[in-house]
Amino acid sequence: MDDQGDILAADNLFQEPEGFYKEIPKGYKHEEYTLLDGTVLPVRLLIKDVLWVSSSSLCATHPHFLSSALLYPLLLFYSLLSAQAFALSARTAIRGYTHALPQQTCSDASYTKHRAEFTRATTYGTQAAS
Amino acid sequence: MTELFETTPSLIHNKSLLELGCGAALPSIVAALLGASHVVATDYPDPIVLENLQHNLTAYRPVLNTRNSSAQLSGMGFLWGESPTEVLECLPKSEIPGFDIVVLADVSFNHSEHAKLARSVAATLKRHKDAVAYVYFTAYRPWLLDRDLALFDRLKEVGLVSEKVSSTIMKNLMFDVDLGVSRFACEYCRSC
Repeated sequence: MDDQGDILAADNLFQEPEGFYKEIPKGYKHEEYTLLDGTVLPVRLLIKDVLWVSSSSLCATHPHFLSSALLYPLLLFYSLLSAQAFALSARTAIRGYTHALPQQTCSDASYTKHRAEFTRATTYGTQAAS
Repeated sequence: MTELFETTPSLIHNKSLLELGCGAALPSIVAALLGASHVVATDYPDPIVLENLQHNLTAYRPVLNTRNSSAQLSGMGFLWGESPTEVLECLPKSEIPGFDIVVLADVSFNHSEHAKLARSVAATLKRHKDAVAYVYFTAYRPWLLDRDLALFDRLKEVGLVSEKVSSTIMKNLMFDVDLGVSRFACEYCRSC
């Protein structure tokens, strides 16, 4: 895979009310996980950049886009021209996913409040209702 | 997720396990190494994603042999909400079909797919009192945490109840680069 990567299938768009994501594989990253007994487990992660496209900003500028079949190719075109305009990208070392940086979408106070939540890992157990 | 299996191996010993949205499949690999019987790692059916999945699983099958593990470790594409027939065929015939454990690690950020994901959990989790789906997540976008947690509402709608098992603070931030509180300015519309 080259630096540009390949764009995942067109239906791999995560649609949200406020916008949507477009995933673009960027390459591989090799990580190691160490078990409690000291065993080292290397794994290869698929690194993706996620282009986050805000519906509000897109609508405000180009209201006809959201109902247009040209949306996706135009999005890609715009993204390639100016990634900063639409893309919030930050690679993580976990599972190869990429997330929007909080400071890029929050106020300073909100960012400070939320920052700690990025480091909280929570597990739920789900079972059939009795 | 893997730490839970390591610290409580009885959770997975001789159990069948399905991972949905597995990525590199680390929880599946660890489960197989620690004594699970049948492990199926699944992710979005895209060739690039599945090639990386198979790369990791292939690397670990020889390791399973050296650890005298008899786990059947496989990987395949699976689209949430679609028929799980192919996934369930990985299991030996049983009176009660389904997996003892279903793992959802870092998939709750995908809000638009919650309903499909919940249906897939309900369709693949064994209808048995000891069968459990483990949902592990970090808040990719903390300001949308409420919507992450809405996954549990969707699970409830398909007859599954959820209970918090653990909550821990990781040592490091998740990002390679953290730019602090510098603000993002949209050069395009200048209004966002």
